Amino acid sequence: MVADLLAIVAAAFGGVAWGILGGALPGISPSITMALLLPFTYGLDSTVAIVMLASTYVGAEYGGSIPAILIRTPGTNAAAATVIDGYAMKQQGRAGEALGISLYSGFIGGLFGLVVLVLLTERLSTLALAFTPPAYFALGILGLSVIAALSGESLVKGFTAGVLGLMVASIGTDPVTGTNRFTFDQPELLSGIPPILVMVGVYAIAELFAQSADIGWSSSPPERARITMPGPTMWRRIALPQAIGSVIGTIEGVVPGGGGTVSSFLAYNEARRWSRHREEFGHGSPEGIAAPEAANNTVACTALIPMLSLGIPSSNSAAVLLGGFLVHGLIPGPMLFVQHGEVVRGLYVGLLIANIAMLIVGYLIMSPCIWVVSRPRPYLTAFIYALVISGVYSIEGSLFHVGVALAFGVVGYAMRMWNLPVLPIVLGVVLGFMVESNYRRALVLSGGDHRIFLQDRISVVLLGVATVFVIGSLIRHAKERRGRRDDRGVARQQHT
Amino acid sequence: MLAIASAYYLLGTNIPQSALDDAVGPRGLPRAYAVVLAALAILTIARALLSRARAAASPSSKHDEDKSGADLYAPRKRTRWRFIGLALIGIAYLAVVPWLGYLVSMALLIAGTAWYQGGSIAGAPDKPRPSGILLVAASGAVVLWLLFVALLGIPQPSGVWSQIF
Repeated sequence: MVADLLAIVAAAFGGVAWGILGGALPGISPSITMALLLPFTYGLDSTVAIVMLASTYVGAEYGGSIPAILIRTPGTNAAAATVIDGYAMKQQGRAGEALGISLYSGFIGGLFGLVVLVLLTERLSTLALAFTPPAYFALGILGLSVIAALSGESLVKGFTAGVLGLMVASIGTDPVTGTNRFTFDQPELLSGIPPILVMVGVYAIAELFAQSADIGWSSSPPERARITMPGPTMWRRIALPQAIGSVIGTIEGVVPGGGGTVSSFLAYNEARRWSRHREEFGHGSPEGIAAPEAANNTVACTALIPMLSLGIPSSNSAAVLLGGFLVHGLIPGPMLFVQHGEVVRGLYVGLLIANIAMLIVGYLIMSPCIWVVSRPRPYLTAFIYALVISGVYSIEGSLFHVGVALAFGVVGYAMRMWNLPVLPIVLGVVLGFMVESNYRRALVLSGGDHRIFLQDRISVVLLGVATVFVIGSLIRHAKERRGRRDDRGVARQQHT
Repeated sequence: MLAIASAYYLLGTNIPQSALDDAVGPRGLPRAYAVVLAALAILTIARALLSRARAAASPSSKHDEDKSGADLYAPRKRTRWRFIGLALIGIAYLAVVPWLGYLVSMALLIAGTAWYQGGSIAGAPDKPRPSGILLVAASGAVVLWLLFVALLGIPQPSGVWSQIF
């Protein structure tokens, strides 16, 4: 018991340290930081592995604010809002204060998100015992309907990426009859392509390929900064923006497609609207750091709610964490709490420790973090590449797997070139097996009658929600397209 | 995408059928995915053709779009294919690691990647000497070997060295 707790504490501290380091590297998002760590967790105890990955997410959300404040370059997309006032404070010689506000606000946001996570997730999971194959199929469809919200500017591109993911998921042994599909007589493909290889490829390796465009030995000049934690007066001043950030982070974390970036900017905007010092925003306002940092750290916890309770990842980072569960044979969703409740409770404890660890590690790791960030980019790229390849090989000692991950790196890079969103392909790979196996099992039960999906109450509700979701996204996209067309029309008239 | 959908559909047709098959069968959903992908690809092509036709109908806007597009992507276009070099370094690692083993292959991978990413800016003030890159690469390979093999106990390919020593 004590040994288990010690292992969780070590995993939380290690994960947070890795997350801060990864988040501080510009271009390396929390999901990429997690994907880099994913292969290393393969040999660990499942609870320890999940805690380490979730702690990485927590650490990365804070880590992104370090270069945002010091070198005006957000380490993560979610830290982009922090640049505005963080860098302004740095220019005023208040970098340590800005980093302290970021760290403390992230801690508050993380704790708030954890409370919401514990309260909501368990309740959603009580549906567990009522799930039948039609309900599981409908749940998979609901998960895939998230693609509609995550498709960016083009629904067609989002669905294309999703279908590609479903195609990848159908490689291997058929879930009902055991027939081999698309295996090309390769024994390594019989058990299908593990989602972990797809994730490492499309997130981590594709990012390295994208960074290969930036050549040269220049490095960021090292910045010196010592964190100054806020005092009682500052606590009172940033309490309201922290509350705003926490509430917005909660909502955006649960909603598919929301995530840390959207929540940070919304929180910044709302904090500005409710502030008594509105004129300071953009010129070094502590509230302008507190709100977005509280928001993105709240998201690091609340994004796990749909993933844990329904098995639906609402963001890239949640998808990678889902991959961590799958690597250990754990299926997030309704039955997780029944079959592996100890892992979920361990995750809650781990997240609590991770948020506390963030305060300690965040303070201690500042100097090494700045040293690493200011290394020449070619060395950083080379070491990350070496780490990814070594990590993927470690999963099953297979060079074939390394080749598959590299191939998915090329796929991920090609998707970036064609502006295809990445998360839908991951959703397709992760949910494909669940959708197909339960669809066919349900039809076996009904003797091929599709009405079975409308006779199960949970199935009807979930399919209804999925339909509303897709139709809502179609309407939203149509409105946005019309808006863009109108804007172009106005611009053209002005031109002529 | 249309080519991928067609190839996938044809391969799906070759999936063997058995007496145990259910109503949908192992071919059912893969072929459905291929049809949906083909439909999405046709939709994408149609939309691209439509927007091109619209742009052709309005020469001023086409000129503006082309110009802005060129401004946006010109620097990227020059370097967007550099990823192939990085991918080839990874493939080369896969080819040599069964013979040279983890330590030597990893040192070569780190050195190759760093050299490739540094570019060929002759006389650049910050550019390290080749011996410097090799030293960093060798140290990095040893650190990674210590991390994986010695600390985490995860074996990495030993290559021909295990037969020699």
